[in-house]
Amino acid sequence: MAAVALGTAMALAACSSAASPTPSTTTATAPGADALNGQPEVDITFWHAMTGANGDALTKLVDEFNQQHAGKIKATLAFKNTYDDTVSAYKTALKGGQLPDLVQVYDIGTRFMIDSGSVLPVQAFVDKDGYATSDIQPNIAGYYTVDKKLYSMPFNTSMPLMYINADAFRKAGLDPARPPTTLDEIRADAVKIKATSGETVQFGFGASLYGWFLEQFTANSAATLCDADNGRTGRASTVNLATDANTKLLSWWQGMVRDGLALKLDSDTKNGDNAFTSGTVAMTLESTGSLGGFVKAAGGRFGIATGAYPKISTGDAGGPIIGGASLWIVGQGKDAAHERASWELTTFLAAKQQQVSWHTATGYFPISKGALTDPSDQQWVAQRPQFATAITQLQNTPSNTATQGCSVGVMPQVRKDVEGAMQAAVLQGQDPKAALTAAQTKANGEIAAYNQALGG
Amino acid sequence: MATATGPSRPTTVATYVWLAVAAVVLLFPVLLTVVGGFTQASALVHRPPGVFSGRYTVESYVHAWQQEVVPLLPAFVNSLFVGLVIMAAQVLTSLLAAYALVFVRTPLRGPAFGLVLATIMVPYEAIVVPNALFVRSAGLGDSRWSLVLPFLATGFGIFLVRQGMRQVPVELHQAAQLDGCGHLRFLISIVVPAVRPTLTALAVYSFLQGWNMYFWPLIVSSTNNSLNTLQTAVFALQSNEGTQPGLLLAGITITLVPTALLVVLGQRWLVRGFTAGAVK
Repeated sequence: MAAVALGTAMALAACSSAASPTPSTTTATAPGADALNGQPEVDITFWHAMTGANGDALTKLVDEFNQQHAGKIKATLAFKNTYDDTVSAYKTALKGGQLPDLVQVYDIGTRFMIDSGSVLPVQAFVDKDGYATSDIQPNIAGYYTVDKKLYSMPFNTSMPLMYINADAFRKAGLDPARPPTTLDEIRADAVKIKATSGETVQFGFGASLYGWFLEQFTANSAATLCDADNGRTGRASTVNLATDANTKLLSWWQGMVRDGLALKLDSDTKNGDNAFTSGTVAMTLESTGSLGGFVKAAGGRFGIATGAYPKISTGDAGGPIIGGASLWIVGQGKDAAHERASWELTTFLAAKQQQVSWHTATGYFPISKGALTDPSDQQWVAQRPQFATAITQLQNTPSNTATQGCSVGVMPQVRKDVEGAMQAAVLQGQDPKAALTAAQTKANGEIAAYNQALGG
Repeated sequence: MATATGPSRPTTVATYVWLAVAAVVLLFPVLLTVVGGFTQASALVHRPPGVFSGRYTVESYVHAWQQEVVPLLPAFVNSLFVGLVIMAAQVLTSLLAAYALVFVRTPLRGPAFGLVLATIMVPYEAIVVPNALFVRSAGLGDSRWSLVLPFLATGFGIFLVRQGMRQVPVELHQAAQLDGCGHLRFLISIVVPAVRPTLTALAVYSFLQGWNMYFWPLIVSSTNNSLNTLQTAVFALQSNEGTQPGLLLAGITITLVPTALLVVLGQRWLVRGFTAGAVK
């Protein structure tokens, strides 16, 4: 009876602390391991957007964590549909609802999460515990590092690759092991494929007009997309879209479509995926996360090879930006025990052994360097030689502000603006430079409005 | 009536041909969804999709049902609860409110109807946050009732039923009153049969509204998956990267079953309701 009463009192105390936000985030000091001492089981809620096999893999990892921490911490997963919906739900909860303890947010939500003032930077725990970040792939950590602080723990990570229909390549007398590396080479190969196109492969190239791809081309040419070093050394206020490199890219794309070398596709990557798996296009651009699905969908009808993400011009010295999502520890309205419990779950998921299971179950890139040296992981990679391309690509990518990617609060809208320009140029045949300039003006207005709303 | 002859033979044939074409056009997406769920993944991504390739499997349905992120069965139960409760509540509240607005003579009738109309003009998105805060402060945060509470009455439903009731002649009400018929009896024996088509339409509409609910459950449930509805469960079948169309189609087929049943079983009522209204 007494235990029940105590439990109720605890629950009530937790409720009242949730109702009145504590200013723990402004001080940004992390609670130590002792915060969990003498506590009853701490219940934490983890919002995520992992679907399908990825969701099942996450469920398994969290179950494992709960078993290891039985009686101390119990993490409950709450599925929030999509990355966009997760952020919507989070924004609603910020206005006075119930925030989760740990939340998975997509790469382009990074600046928004920092500006929300509701999170406890991972860096605070790293400093408190002396947690070794040396095992985290530096390029991956780089994306979530702003003002030299690691704000969130990278989790599911992917990179763009070039995917190739190996059978169509061989038929055209090309070597799938030597994929094209620049726009000009893609065009040359597409011409050869067109000349030999059988009844299934009709186009040499075809990629979705997805804004992420243009961001990747920019980083690959070692250029920054927005000012203040991609928003990494200060708050970015403008984007630089109407560049010569981007104009060249869209003019090239326009020409490919005009000459029947590339399939017309919209911005929905699912259409691009289907064009590749149905054998309609011989080369496409997609994330590493699509590899498993591609191999399964091809179902032995044709072989799949991969190449590094192409460059706009020979000699471009950058590298692609990582994408995916990271884990954010919520501080607003949370007591020390909950914050600490969230950190425990975060480190569990980021640890080498869990990253091995995560990598091999989902195909996401492991954030732990050690995971790639694990025998079972290496066996997995050996069975999927296409994935080795991604490992090489990440290792060859210099870690700098260009490859960290642009960090602005309205990144989702900026990406939409970029897609508008890509569609205007490639699908409607508008002048690439004019389309990019229009998108740039629109994006700059959105950034200004966001920055102004923050009072900065 | 007795002298009426059927339409000529060529007209009948033409009608059937036209109906067959229309049926194919309307039913093809449904057929594609149901059969697509049974088609093997490699046949499905073929261009054109090899839905009729003969390579069938129940794998997608089994996977969809066993999916762990948002288990399908509890989500199914939640959606059914939401759909049925919202349907029953909206029909009842709309009927009573509309009756009061049409047949109860009071100077407040005009202003009251104005208030009802005003609720239709406030966009749903604008009141999501206040609604969520209210439900939570009422202590219903993780209860199933929080899924339906803001939707038990609807301005649109009241408006719809009121328009239907205005077709009932006022003289009928006056005659009933003279014969000593009270409001409740008049409502049940005269008004309800007269507005049955409207009520049936409202019932189907409100069930579908509840059944397809997506954003509200997402906002109101914060701590676990127990309040997730079927629409979110189907979403969990979609992969962020890489597509499994068969799995998705299987999931969609499962969500289609109750709505299809509603239409098939409710059709008799719908048709009877419409004709009853027509020969009033």
